[in-house]
Amino acid sequence: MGRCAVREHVLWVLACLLWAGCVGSQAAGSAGGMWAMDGPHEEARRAEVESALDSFWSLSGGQREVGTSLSFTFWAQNGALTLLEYREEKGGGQGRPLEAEPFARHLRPLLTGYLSGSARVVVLTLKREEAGWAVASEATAHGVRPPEAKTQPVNRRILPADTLPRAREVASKLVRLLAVPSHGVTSLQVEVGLEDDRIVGWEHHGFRVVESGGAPRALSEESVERLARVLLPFVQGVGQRTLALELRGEHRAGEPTARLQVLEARTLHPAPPPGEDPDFAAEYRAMHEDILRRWREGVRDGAELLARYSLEEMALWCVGGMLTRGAGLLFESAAPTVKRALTRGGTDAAGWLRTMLRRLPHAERVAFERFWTKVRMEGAEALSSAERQELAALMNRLERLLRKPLSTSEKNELRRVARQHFERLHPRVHEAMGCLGPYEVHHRRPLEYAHVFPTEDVNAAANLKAVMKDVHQRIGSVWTEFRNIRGSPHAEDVDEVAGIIDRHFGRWYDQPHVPGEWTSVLDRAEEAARQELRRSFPMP
Amino acid sequence: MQPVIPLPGLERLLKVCRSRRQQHKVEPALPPELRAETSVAGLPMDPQLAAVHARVGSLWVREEFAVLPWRHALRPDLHRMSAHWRREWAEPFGSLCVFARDDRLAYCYATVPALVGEKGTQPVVWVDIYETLYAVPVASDVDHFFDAYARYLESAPPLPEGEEFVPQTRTFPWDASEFIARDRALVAMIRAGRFDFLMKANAQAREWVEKVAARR
Repeated sequence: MGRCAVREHVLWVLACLLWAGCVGSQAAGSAGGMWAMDGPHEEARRAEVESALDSFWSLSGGQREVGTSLSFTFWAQNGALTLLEYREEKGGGQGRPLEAEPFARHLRPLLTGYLSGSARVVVLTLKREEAGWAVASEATAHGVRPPEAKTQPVNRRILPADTLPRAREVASKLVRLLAVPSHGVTSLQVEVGLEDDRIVGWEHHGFRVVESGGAPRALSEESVERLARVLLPFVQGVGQRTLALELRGEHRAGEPTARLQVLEARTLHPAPPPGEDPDFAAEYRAMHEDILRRWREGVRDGAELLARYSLEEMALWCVGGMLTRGAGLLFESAAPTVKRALTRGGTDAAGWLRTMLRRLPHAERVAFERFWTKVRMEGAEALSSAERQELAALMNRLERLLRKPLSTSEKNELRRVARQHFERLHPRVHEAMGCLGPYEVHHRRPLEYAHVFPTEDVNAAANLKAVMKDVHQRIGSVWTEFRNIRGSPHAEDVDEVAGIIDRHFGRWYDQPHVPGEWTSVLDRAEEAARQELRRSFPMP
Repeated sequence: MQPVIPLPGLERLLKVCRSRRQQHKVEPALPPELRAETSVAGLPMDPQLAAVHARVGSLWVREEFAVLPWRHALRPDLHRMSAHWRREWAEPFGSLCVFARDDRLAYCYATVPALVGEKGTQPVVWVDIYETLYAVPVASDVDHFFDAYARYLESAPPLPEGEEFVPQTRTFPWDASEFIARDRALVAMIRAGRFDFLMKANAQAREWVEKVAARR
């Protein structure tokens, strides 16, 4: 999609003239004075700004080469800031050392200004001068939010304890690939896989000698640290994404080690997978971001995280996340039907899972939610071996439940849920049907045969029709006759009878009528349906 | 003039509905001359049921149940429903007198003329008509049915404020065994096996009823 027609150019050039050792003039107002309202939301917005300032300082604080340019492109929406791209260009001679607090004090109002207003892409460029950083920024109102961008501010300043060590570990491995000849220059392109807060993998895509030289030189430890700190702000996005990095290694004469420069780091935006339901994806994404935000803010208990969501929403979240790396863990157990039902994705799979979870006892349902939350939030590797076994046992239990006929209490509950589901899906039909007396929700494939369709959601919208009582009674009579003919039918048999009923009673589906209005016609429809049933299933 | 039969269970139910702000509707009773029948589809009319209809024309409790009106031109009514089921249901179910229905689903409540007691009142059963018919006992008489339902509603979480209605996840009678079991006369009948003939088709129903009887 193209950019929004409205383009806003705001060039702010602030010269930060700071002398070494000087803490700067008294700024107009303190950092807290610009926050007009207190409250959790404002705290979160404040945390977003401070977290961004930490990132900027982390990458600029040690840079003394005058002329160095650092460019940060981020998405600003509803008080949340998500880094999308980072670039750097090296400068020349040495400037004076700087301090963090004045740097933050001058940038803070700029970032705070971008927290309100419409969603936009902001490019912030810092250019090193002799005694400070010059700042330029440009904001563009943008119609399309990148999928990894946050829409809610997160009240968190400190990343999880293992984030930086993990970033250093990956950076260390990447740096080893960037062999730099003495007095030479090389480049390397890599892609780093991210999932929510975690770095989940990496692969390189091209190494090139830009300027050849002598024997290879190791890159400095400072290079590893720098690359790790470039990765850190990118882990604060949402969902699965890939960060493409272009690295440059250079060895200068007289220096013991080579240096690293991160020319570019940007999040890739591949096209959505074919066949993806955009509405389902949007709903899943919104829910996942909300759960992730609360996780990042310290809610670690799975039950507490999911307490505010209905079973239907929880099922949607599970299915939406099925394509993540951790989901394969669910199928380490022998649960092929469960896998087949879930991995088709979308609303069908979410509906199926919602119905299946209702069949689990409450304690097992809670356990499933707890395990799934841990897999999604911390990765499959976070589960202990005991937890893996318990999860596998749960999946196996689901697999066995699929083939088992519904119990009476399960049917009762599913009928109520079907009714609620239908009213929510078809409010106009519900209103129209109810005007002339009570109506009932008919399952085209009856609940008593749900187990012969193990991967189908018996309460799927396509299986539910509203019928008046007199119609439902007659449909029930036809199924009663079939029950007496075929005690344990196959799926094809059930579908054939469902088709017979559709043909003879379909005209009354979702159609209100006055009770008694169609008595003789219904009698004939019932008789015709029974006759067709007997022809299709002759008595032995 | 017929003596007035007290219905404390019904009054309790109405009071609970009001105090919980449970959406419900009471229609005025028909004049006596329009409800003069003493039988329903050829079956003896339960005297408490007749008293209910002298008190209210019909009663609807949202998401719970609705008492069928005595007679109605358009909506299902007591006489027409019972006559329909007398034709449609095989015995012993054809001899039940259906007087109320689940608000949303095809379950109903019926009195059992075949089990009439010394006082002339009939016990009440919940009937599942979706598949092979079965019924479970829920009260020793109509007023005890209302009483048990009132206590069941009282024990439910408070209803949320505002217009948006949040459907309850509990169901009667399956989540009301504690209140049903307080009906001593009913429990005695269950233990004597008086309702066994209505539960032959469903093992889970029999298990549940045994647990109800074992509560006291």
